[in-house]
Amino acid sequence: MNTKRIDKWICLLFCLLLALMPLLFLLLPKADFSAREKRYLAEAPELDADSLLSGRFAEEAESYAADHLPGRDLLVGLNAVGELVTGRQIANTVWLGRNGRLFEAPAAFDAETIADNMAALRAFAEQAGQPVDLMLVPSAGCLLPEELPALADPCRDEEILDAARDEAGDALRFVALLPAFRAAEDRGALYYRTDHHWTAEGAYRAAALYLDTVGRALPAREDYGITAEAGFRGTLWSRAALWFLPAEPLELWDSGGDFCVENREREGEHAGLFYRERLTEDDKYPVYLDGNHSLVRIRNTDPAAQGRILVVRDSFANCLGCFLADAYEEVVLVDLRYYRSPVSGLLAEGFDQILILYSIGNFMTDANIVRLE
Amino acid sequence: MVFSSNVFLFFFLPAALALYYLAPRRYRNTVLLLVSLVFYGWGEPVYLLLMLFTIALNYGCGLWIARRRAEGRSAKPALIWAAVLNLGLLAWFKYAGFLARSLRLLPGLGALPIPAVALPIGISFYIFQSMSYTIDVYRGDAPVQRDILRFGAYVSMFPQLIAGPIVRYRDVAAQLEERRETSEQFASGVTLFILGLSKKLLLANPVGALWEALQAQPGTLSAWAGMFAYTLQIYFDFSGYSDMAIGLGRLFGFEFLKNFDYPYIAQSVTEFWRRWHISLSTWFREYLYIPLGGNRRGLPRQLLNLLIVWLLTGLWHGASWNFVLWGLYYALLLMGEKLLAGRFPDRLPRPLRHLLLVLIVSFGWMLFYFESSPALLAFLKKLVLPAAASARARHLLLGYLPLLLFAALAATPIFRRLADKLLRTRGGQALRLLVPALLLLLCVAALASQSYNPFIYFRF
Repeated sequence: MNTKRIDKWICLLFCLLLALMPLLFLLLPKADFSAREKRYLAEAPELDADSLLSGRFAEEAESYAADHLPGRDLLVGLNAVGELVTGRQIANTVWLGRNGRLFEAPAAFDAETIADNMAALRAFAEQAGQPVDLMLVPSAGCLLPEELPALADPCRDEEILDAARDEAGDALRFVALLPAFRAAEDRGALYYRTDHHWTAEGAYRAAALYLDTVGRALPAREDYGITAEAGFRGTLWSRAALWFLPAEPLELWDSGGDFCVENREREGEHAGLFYRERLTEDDKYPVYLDGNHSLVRIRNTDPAAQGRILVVRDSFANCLGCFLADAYEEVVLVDLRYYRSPVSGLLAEGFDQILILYSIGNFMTDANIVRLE
Repeated sequence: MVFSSNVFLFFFLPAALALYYLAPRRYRNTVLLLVSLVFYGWGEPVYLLLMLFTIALNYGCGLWIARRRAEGRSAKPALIWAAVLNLGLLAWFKYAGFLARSLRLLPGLGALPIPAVALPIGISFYIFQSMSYTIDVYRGDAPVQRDILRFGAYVSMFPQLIAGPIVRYRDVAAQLEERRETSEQFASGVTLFILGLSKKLLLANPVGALWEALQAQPGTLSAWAGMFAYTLQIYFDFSGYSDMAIGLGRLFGFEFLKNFDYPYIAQSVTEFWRRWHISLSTWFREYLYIPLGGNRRGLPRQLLNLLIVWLLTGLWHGASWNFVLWGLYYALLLMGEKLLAGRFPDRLPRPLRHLLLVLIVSFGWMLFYFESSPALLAFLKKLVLPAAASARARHLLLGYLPLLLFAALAATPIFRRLADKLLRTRGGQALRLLVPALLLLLCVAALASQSYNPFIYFRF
């Protein structure tokens, strides 16, 4: 092709793109909500004298244009692949490791945060006047170092656990989850590939381990009816934006018991632990107890069920709570990120066990733990 | 508005081009003026008044100069008024706060009020550009512009409004009157714009992210690598912006002069400044250094002139003492090169001279970057005191290594030469279509990712 013709093609294609993008933008339907980002997308900016003069219109117009860009998800994916192949993904907070597994960058070691959090937990335990158990969930990266990508930062979960144990005092009992998980032969099955949470398998083993230390027991695994829901893509998948990674199954373990679940944010009781309507989403994790809520109560209607447990927790307890429900008459879950009243107000209800359950990542970053009282 | 935004790329630019090419030829400067005012007023509409005032002021001063000249009188008072008012605007909007803060340090002035003025975007560029008009007219280097719309289009022209290049009036005077847009020029404009956008989004931004990340990491290696990362970032950011500006100018039929010429391949500081931000160095040389006497009044005077020019060049970059220090740094280096011309530094082997230049310039950027002296001192300590880098720093650096190496190569003419060779081969011409198309796709992808923020702890 000669130079002149190429010039004309360049002009033509560029102008076509410039004409097509605004046209597509105006014509294509706009989503209100991004399931992958779990946030509402920007709304069309309102044009009035005030917003125009203050520059607010310009800002909102840019967010609106950015949020509803035609082909946005594909473009975001392309950028993520670009970062991956040039080696730069290591600068992000989610990494693609071996065997198609996504990892979250490990929690940083920070003695001060540990000391502050442990002081708050100790004070709470002393106030409770009964033993309080602490279970910190190791990250997948710590458990599966052989699957981490090259250049991954060293996992410091062990140091964090040691430091936390040193600060535990007498009122807190430490549940040693890491050695038990490490000893498992199928460590890879304990965590999802596309999500930072443990799988139902991982949660079951953690629940069994914990209940063993407090003298209770779970039904044997054979007693559960296990159904696998295909097509689960978790938060790590959304954050990494590597859309080509396959979905994985999410398991629902049904002990056959009858449960009533209520939470503060929704009216009425829910029969059963699993909110199957949430299975239609990419991120199916809220199928367990409807995801995060400030206060959740699970009642086991089996008259033989005995005892009550209070769990101060992060989202790892959504799945764990479903197992604890088999071993207690009532399980109460409190999430300090959303529960704004003093937890001590609940203690009057009387609990056989009090468990504090956090993933190490959240333990090191959640600024709400120090609010525990 | 900035070029690397969705609103600019997919709404403003298509609309501006459509209006421009649909308008009859005689209205095209007016269209350009109007879209430029929208561009300028987009985020900060109040400063449109300042822009309009600047246009009116310099337009009037130009006419005044022409009239006095026609009446056979000296035009000097008009020029002086133009200079005083332009610099007065710049001083008030850019330097009032800095001046007040600095004066406060003097005894007895501790209570001096600090004026709360926000810096209008691009003011340093369009004030200098406007001044070049009155000076060119005064010197007879360019004819007076009697059409205020045309003049307004020159001052506010959106491609170079916010970050240059500083287009001297005489360089575009003829193009304002008469220009023929061609598909050849348009195509080269598209290509240059995309290259500039790629420099900004695909090189400067990620390398800048590395510099940000490394600053938080301990270790000597972090400091050195960070310094070089910033050196690459500022080059690709700024030269990318200039490329976009020159490319956009071509879309509207304008031809601006080159602003960057591979500055990091220079062998000396003097050469570096002939290659870096050429329009600014030219401005200072034409309108300050040479009028001060340049190098024609003996060595001591030349050194003094260098000092004046470089202190002001430093200050032009920002209202803070570190920019003065940065200017002084280059004043001393340039004086040194004048004094040592033909001696020791010139006799070093070329690679060594080059290495030295890169070190000098990179270090200079640190003076430029750190606006507070405690931060600068802390960084210098990190730079010279041996300390092991954290694992995170080493991993980041290794992860970024391919990009860093690519960027370092891209700062040299290697790719330009390669492209020239390929374009002469059979089928090589197709690359002119494919490479920019691919780059633009990656740019849009990078832009889209900036707004992609998964919110992890979503409730309900």
